[in-house]
Amino acid sequence: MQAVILAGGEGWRLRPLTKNRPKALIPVGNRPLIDYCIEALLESGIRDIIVVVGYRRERVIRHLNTLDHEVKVVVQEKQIGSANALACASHLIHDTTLVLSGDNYLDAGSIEAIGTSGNAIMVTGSLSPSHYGVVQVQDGLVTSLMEKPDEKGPCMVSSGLYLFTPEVIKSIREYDMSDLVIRLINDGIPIRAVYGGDWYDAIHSWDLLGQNHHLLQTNVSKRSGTISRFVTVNGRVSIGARSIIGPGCTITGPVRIGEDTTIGPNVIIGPDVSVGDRASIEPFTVIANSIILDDVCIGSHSRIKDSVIGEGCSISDHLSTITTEGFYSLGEGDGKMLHRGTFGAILGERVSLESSVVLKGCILGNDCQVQSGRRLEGVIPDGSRVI
Amino acid sequence: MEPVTECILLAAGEGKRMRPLTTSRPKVMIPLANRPMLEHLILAGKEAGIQRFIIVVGYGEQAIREYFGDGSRIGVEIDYVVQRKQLGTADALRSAEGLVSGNFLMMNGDMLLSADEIAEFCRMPIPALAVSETDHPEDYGVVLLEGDRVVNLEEKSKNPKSRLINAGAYLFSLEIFERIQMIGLSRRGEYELTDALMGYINEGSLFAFCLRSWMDVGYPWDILAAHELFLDALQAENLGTVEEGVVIKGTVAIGEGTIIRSGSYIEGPCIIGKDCIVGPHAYIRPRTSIGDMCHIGNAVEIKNSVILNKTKIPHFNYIGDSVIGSGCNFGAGTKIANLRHDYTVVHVGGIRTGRKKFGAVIGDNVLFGINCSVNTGSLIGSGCRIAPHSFVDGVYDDETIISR
Amino acid sequence: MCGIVGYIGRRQAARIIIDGLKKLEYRGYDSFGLATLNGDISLAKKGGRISDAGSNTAGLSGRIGIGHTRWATHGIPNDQNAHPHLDCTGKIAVVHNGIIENYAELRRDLTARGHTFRSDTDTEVISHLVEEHFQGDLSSAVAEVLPLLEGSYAILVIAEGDDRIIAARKASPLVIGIGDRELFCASDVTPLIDHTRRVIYLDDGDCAVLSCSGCLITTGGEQVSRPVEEVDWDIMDARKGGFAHYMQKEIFEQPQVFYNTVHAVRESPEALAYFVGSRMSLMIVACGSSYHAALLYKYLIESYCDIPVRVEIGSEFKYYAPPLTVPVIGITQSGETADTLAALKMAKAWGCPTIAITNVVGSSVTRIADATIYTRAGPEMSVAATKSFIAQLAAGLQITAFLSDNTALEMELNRVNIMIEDTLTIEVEDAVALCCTAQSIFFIGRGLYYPVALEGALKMKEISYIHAEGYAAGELKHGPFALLSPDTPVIALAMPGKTYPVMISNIKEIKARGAPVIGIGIAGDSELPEIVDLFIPLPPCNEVAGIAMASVMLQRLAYYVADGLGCDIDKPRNLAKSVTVE
Repeated sequence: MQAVILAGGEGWRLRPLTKNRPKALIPVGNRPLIDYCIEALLESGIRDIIVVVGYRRERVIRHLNTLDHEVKVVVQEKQIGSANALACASHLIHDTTLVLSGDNYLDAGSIEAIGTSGNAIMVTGSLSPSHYGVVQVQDGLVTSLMEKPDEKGPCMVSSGLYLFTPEVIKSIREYDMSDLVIRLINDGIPIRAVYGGDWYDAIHSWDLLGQNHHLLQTNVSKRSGTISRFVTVNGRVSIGARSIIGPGCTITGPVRIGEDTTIGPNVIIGPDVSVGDRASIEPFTVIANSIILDDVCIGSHSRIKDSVIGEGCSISDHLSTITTEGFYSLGEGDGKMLHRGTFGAILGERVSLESSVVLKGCILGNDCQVQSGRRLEGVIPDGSRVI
Repeated sequence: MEPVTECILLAAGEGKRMRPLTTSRPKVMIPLANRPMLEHLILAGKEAGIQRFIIVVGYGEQAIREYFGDGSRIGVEIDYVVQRKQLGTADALRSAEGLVSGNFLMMNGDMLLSADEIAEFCRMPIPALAVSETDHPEDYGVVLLEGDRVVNLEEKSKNPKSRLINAGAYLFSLEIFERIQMIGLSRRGEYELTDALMGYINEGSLFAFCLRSWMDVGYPWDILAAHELFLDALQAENLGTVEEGVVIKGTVAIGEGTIIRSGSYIEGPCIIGKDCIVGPHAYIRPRTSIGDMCHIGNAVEIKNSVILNKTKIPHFNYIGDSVIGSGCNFGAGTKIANLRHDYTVVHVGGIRTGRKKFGAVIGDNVLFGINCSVNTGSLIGSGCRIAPHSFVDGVYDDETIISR
Repeated sequence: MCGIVGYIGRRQAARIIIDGLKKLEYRGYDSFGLATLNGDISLAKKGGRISDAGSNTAGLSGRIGIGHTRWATHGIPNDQNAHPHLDCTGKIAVVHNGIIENYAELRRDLTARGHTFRSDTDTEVISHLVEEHFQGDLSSAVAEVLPLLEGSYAILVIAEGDDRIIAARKASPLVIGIGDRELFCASDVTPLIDHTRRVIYLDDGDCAVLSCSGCLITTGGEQVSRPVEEVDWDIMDARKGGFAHYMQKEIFEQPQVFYNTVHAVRESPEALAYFVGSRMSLMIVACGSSYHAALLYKYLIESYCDIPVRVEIGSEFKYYAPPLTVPVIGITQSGETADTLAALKMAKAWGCPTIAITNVVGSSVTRIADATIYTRAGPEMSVAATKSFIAQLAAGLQITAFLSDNTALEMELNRVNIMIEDTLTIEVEDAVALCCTAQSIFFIGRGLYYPVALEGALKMKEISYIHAEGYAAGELKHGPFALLSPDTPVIALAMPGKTYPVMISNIKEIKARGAPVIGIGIAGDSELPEIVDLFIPLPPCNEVAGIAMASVMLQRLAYYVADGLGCDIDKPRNLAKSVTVE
């Protein structure tokens, strides 16, 4: 068995978080999504792993180099489709191959369920099929596939986990995976439909919060660094090396805190919070259901809930986020459309907020600067200065 | 047939499941009844007629080399080879090529085996594989037999077809070195000896030998079970000084230079190493093993625990069903809990210990302030420092500091 | 700066030596060769790289052997000049790293006495000298020859009828690896770590006899014992992963390297304490990229701490440095740079406190200097320095913050890693296209950006082979202006600060002479993009992050230009990673 992980796509719906990394490298639960894929593969005994990289590939390769298990890397020069990405790896394929996307979460059970021979697609029920390929299944075989249809309502969708024979992979001329599957169906090559286990995908940046909640369920309690004995820890909490947790902090799991991070005194964190490396969180701040990435500074007396804070953000005191449901305009030009989401704030990289800012369902682009006392909603583009 | 006199011992791994006890020593150097696991195995091998040992070392090799030297101290000849990366059993064996001269025994260094059984195994036709029966075969790869021959090896599965597992002891001729040249990387990315064994199995030439005394020590809490075996076979001896007013019951071995002070009450089986100070008024309960240069002081109760060298438990402490590394210092009044209020089996870091009574695993050089409470099932990494009056619960990495 | 490897033990030597030489290829790759001893000496040598030569060991049997990978000093790189070198009888073989300064004289005498030379190398005199002194005992023959040699050497000698390897060093590195019933020796630990972690670093003047029964070290005829040290082999693992080149990998490691180094320096107060006593003035010696880092140290320490700093090139130091009393700092990535080592030894002889700033634990410089500050770049495999330069910069900034007791600066250093990260994704395609067609490129900057320009030019020339010059922007009009033409792009560093207005007028002067200008500035700058042909915007930043970002940007530019031109980026022609000859 071999496995190909597709990690070349940017995942533009997750902007501004994908400025410096593809979707597969966004940390959720403090680890890039691709790590969970690799872990699930290793757990299922698959060690011959090929990763197809493209967008911001150097970041991906650098990360892969830090893992214990050595994977092979193949470059897809232009991101013109996932079937094309798979074809880029065809020269390394000699066995039945599992194909998965580096930005979805799957458990080892799904990998085992799909089997070890022939061709197969893992399918799963979905209420929002407009983002996926909808499949029709008859007698356990896929009979049709339609990419991102307009229709709404529950149906079976392709979860992006495939099993292909080497012959199929070597025959790929298509760009899109759906075109490949349609050709296989037309050629009468049987493709089994396998009902999957645990599977989770993030389409929009706010979906990361659900994924974070999901992935933190597997968090293992482990403490490191310097922790005051006046810290109250409940549930599954892991604290990385050299981090400092000051007295009076209350941490309610699941929470994962990275390395070299300084928190407290008197900070309340959790549940469902990931804090990256080298972050600092000052006194009296409350954080729940949020993802705080590396090198973020959060000032005192802030209240952050249902939010994603990008790398290197610098937040002064008294930030409040207000969770709200709204419609957000994403994409560029003709592709621009409204997407529904519920969250507090999504901050891109190196956003700088002065004191007493209120964010109500707000997406702030990379390098935005906001003066003190502003109250913002909706999408603010990269590099904006709010004065 | 020439008797087998050479043995390759695999001792290159760290034994990650034994952390934090492996911070400063590889797994095979963890003492059982005050002697490294590996020494027990070598001594048993010596008794069974093995004269020369080739130890494949890697992680923490210096500790092994320094302890055993050339083997003359224990009356055997020892050579070392280095396996730099853990690339599997076949790779470890390959690194010893050129150092054995004829038929030889090969064993994992982290198991326990009696001398009689090693001797019996060495009389088997070659090649031979040692197997052992277990009541939890689902945790291991299993071996299928027909008569005295191995007919298949199966990987770990939920429904194993046999209760016999590969015990990690083999009898080979030099021909094995040619066979291991042939094998490629396995699915797990290692050079596995089982791939070479499959050749023998297909030829129907691999003999099996069923061990009765075999035991493997996987997790720190398994040390307690292994100790029970050793301590039940203990011979009483007293090479130290026992003051008047000490009560000793059952089999107790006391090492040279150790002083047991007045008022202490010791219930065997127990072993106390060299140059220790115990008491006054210490209460040491059965199946406790205390290393060399330890201090067990006034009003301290220790029960069914293993304490490695140079650890100080000097005043008003309770230690129950725990494994404690070397060089630790317990502040006055620091205690370890060993029973849950719901009376269920204790888990450490999410792993089931199988014991209703279990205290804590504590690494090397851990410093406790006074009056700390360590909860049942805690695992404290080496070099941790814990502030006075702390409540310690859960898993702590090496060098963690609980500050004031 | 060649690499040498020797083996004696229970296994076939050729295989081990070839693998070892491949690891030492960074020290030179003009030619390679090896000799094994199995009763007779078998020899194989060849021009070119060992990594291109496969692993054929046919005809090279024996459990004793020596090998060499060459960086040509005397004699062109070809088969004949490849080591090992034999004597007239073909019974003695020698490999050598270093330079025999009196070789011309020795060769004349030897030729006069009837010896026939087969190569143009300085090394071959050693083979013939050993032949003359050989009277059945190889070790005493070598011991007699060593005093005749002037210059630097690390040598390995084998001879027929003698089951030993004789090793000796003077001013060139040599390490012995102690295995189990086997011994290794090599120019550094990289070839050894696959086999053992126990090593002995030989000292200058040591001569070691390696045999099956062990290793005997003498110095000046007296037997000595050298400590056995343990190498931490985990840190030695460097895998390129999916990166096209080590240089690219190392460029991308820089954010972490910067952070790690700042914190490592912050946490080594003992070494920093050496600077405290030196409020009067400081002296820094270094070579190559480290010299450019030293120039940055000068600007930083002088402006933030009011301490005068003098910076000298290692190889020039001995010619004009008067006896000093101030602390002398040597900056060397490898810790083996011969010129920097020589300068530190001189300073030490004058009684100056000496401080090393190096990336390699246990390297020679750490043994010479009174105190060592380690940069935490990790092993750098590419010949062109990238992350080691950033690490030296990070160390310099942290030292500056420490000397000036500037906590604001310390706080800023904590965030430089994010700024570097951002620099790694800025598009430079147009600038690369412009540079690829150039015959000659100028790099200009002022103040702190002058050393950055020098380093940018060095990177460009060493890996892309395009002629590149770094100038202080104000100096361009004092001569080099004559060279400006539409075919000579100028890369101008115009970052905000007090040098900005003058840079703008310098750029206008250049534009007036018709040269295309690539301006590197800050995003949001409205003036610079108007006057330059291509504008590369770096994210808004403060001064210290600006130096790091501009340096990284110029590294990336050089890398992509060299890649575009199809150059061998990790092993540029004629260069070697650590320069252990003066």
